[in-house]
Amino acid sequence: MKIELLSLGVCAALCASAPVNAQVTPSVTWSAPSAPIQTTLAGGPWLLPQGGPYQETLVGTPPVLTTTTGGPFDGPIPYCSAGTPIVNPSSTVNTMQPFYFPFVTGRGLNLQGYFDYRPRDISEAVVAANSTDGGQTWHFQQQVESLNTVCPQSDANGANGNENGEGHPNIVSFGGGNILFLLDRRNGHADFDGLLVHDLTPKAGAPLYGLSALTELGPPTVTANSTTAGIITQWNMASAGGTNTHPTPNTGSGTANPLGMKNSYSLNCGSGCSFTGSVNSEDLTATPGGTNQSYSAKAWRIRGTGNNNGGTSGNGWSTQAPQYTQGAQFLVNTTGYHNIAFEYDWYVTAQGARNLQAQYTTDGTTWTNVGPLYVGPAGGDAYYPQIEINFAALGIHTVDNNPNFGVQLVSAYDPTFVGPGTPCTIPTVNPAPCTYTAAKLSSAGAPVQLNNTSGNWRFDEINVLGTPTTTNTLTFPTKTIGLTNPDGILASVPGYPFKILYVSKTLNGDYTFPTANQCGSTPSGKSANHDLVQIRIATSTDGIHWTDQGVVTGLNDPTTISYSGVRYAAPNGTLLKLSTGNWGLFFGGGNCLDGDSDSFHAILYAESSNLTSWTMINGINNPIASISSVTATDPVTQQVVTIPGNTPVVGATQPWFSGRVYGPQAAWASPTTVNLIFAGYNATYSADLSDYRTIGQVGLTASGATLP
Amino acid sequence: MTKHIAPAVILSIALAFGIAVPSRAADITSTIGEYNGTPDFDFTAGDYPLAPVTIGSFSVAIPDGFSLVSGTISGYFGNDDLSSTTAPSDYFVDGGSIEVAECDDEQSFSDACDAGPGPTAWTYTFTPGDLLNLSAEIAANNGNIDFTAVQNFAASIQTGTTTLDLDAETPEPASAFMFCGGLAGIALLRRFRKA
Repeated sequence: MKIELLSLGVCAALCASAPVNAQVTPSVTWSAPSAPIQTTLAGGPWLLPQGGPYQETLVGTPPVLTTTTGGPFDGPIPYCSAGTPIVNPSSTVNTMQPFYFPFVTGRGLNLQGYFDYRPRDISEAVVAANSTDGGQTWHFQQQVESLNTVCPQSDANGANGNENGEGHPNIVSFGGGNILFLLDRRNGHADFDGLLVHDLTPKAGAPLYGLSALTELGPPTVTANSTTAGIITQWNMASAGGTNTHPTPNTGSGTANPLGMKNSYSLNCGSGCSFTGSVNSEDLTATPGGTNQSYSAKAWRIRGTGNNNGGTSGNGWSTQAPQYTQGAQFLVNTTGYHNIAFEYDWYVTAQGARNLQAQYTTDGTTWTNVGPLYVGPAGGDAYYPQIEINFAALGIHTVDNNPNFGVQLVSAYDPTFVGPGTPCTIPTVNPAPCTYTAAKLSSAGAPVQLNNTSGNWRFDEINVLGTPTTTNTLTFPTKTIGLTNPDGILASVPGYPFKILYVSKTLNGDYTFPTANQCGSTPSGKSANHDLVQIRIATSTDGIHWTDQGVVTGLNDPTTISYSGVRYAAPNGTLLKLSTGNWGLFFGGGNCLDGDSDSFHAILYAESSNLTSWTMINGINNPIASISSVTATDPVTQQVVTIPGNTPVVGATQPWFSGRVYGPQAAWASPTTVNLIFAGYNATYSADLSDYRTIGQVGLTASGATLP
Repeated sequence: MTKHIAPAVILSIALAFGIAVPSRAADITSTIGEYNGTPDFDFTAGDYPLAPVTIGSFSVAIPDGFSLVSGTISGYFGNDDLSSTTAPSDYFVDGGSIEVAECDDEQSFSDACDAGPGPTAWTYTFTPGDLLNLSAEIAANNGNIDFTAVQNFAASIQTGTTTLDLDAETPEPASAFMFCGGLAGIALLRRFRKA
């Protein structure tokens, strides 16, 4: 009996001592020995501290902004000198502003950085800098792919502003080779097109050697001739035409016609108000911005007579018009040319139709959709500069050498509209919702139906490009193929074939979700964001053609509205291989508290054994770093919560990342430490032109695993 | 007294000679600095391998009468200059006849030559046959040994500092001298004792 009891006891002891779950791998616990610091840059382009302090003068009730002092235009050291942007000597050292989206390589104290330089409403560029102290201080090396070299005309430069160039730099390396991926941030391209692909051919001290000083995405200037690829026909709307006159090309030949502005649609616009029909009332009107940065730049305005024809005619644009019948049409003979591309600037007023579909013809009568359905810039009264239809890249060669080639840019129903779709012209073909909406959204951030009484489209810098059939292929910037609405690369897996985690962002993509899965306005009253963000995995053998492998789980939940959840994730995180065999991932995340899908609420950390299924270790409530805490009623639990609920790993939030914090780059420093370089904004970044976008650094120590 | 001192001195000199002579061994070291090849982003596998490229040349001077007895060559896949990795590639000396390192397997590329966060070290120890071939190349090539690489797939060859470390000796004359010196000392000692 004693033996049996003894045996049972031993067995019980053995069972009790055995791990309950032997498969569980311990995760890394991160700590920060010291607080984050704001980094500095020696030399390089103009920096925000050189323009500060920025001050606004408000007058009247309600206060109206009248004058400003300080900033890029009239600060102590202006952005430009003698008409060109300044380049600081290496002896000039300032905080690293306005930089964000760092991408860092290297190890130990010697790091190579690539940064997104983005002075507000002025320009955007990729800047390379190196550090010899683990990322605390940086030294300028190169600036490439600059959007422009314009000088601001005021501190805000809003009327002339454009900061949508090439952003989110991320490098995928293999065997000593490096491929730089960039987001084409131009309106109409960002989160639609593939990522721009640049092969890097670095030289010592010049990591971006060989790249263009200015972006290749600017308007072409070379006229195609018998030996040179370039412009076949161009409308720059500078002087041709006039009121009620179809604009004529300034280069080459072709025909531009408005579509659908002469019509007989009628509507009852309210008490005692009705319109019947419309006649064409196109004109060239001053519309600065877009590709042509001149203040006197004109654009071709497409509209009807409005209320000018005896007070009874309509605006031209109508919800009664069948889909694809209103807009503008361009006919160009491409005989003698191949590899055709079409580019245009599209301007939408606030009440203008929100959705544009491009179509092409090869016979002058049959029109076929080409490219995505474009969505007008939120709020309208803004340009989408240089939307491109690259027929050669799309494999469409029937437009080559064709006397009947044409493109029309026409209004389309808004597929995200969830209100009453009236009228729906052919319900069986175009199931509801099938109506046009305006560029300006409702106060809740939802599309509203076109009002039929105002709003218009404008076009500028129309380019039809080609290569004479006797010459070689016209070269366009290469973009990735196969990535779904890529916003940027989150992280790349070492080795070959290439494997990446990338951020897929579908603008306004969550309108199809149940309301319970859509964000509401933020606690501070900011409108809800409706973008759909997924983290997807993809593989490639050449860096250009990618095979999407699907959505990964555990990093974000695009349907969560919980203030403790992670709804959005940002590009430019860091993947680490751990001694436990797990992968560790630092990344920026956000949720409905932000009213924005840019995923800047906190720096988070997750682990995975297979890259596809992730476990959050440092989430929104116990993050590595966080913006200022927010106390609000959680929309799920209806409980008052303070986010984050715990002190972040790096300690208290500092002013310079109290508004945004993301883009964590963890550079290996030792088997148990990393240097974390990240981006931050202060809380007043939307108003203070002397303090936004900056780069921080903090050391982190790992326990629970080492970093091979 | 003198009878004992003289043979001792002679013996000491002989032994000292015999011990000193074996130090006629030469440690020959030569280095080649970091190398950054031209990136090749053609991912068509059929286009590889590329033609060999010369990364650099080791300068080797073997003293007259010396022979190579051992040696190693060591270096890094990748460098701290531009990249911590290198393209899939093979590395050679002796005109391509001695393969000293390889980073070839695409599928296990990460393990083969990108094992850590920085450049990956490699070392090759020459065989006796290798040393004979190297000796012949040194003699035929005015004391130079070319270090070459063949790129087997896309990307760029990046190498860190590469070091050639050869040991040469004059083994037979030294030991014979020591042996003969020792014999001569013993003979002289006997002679002094007889006297």
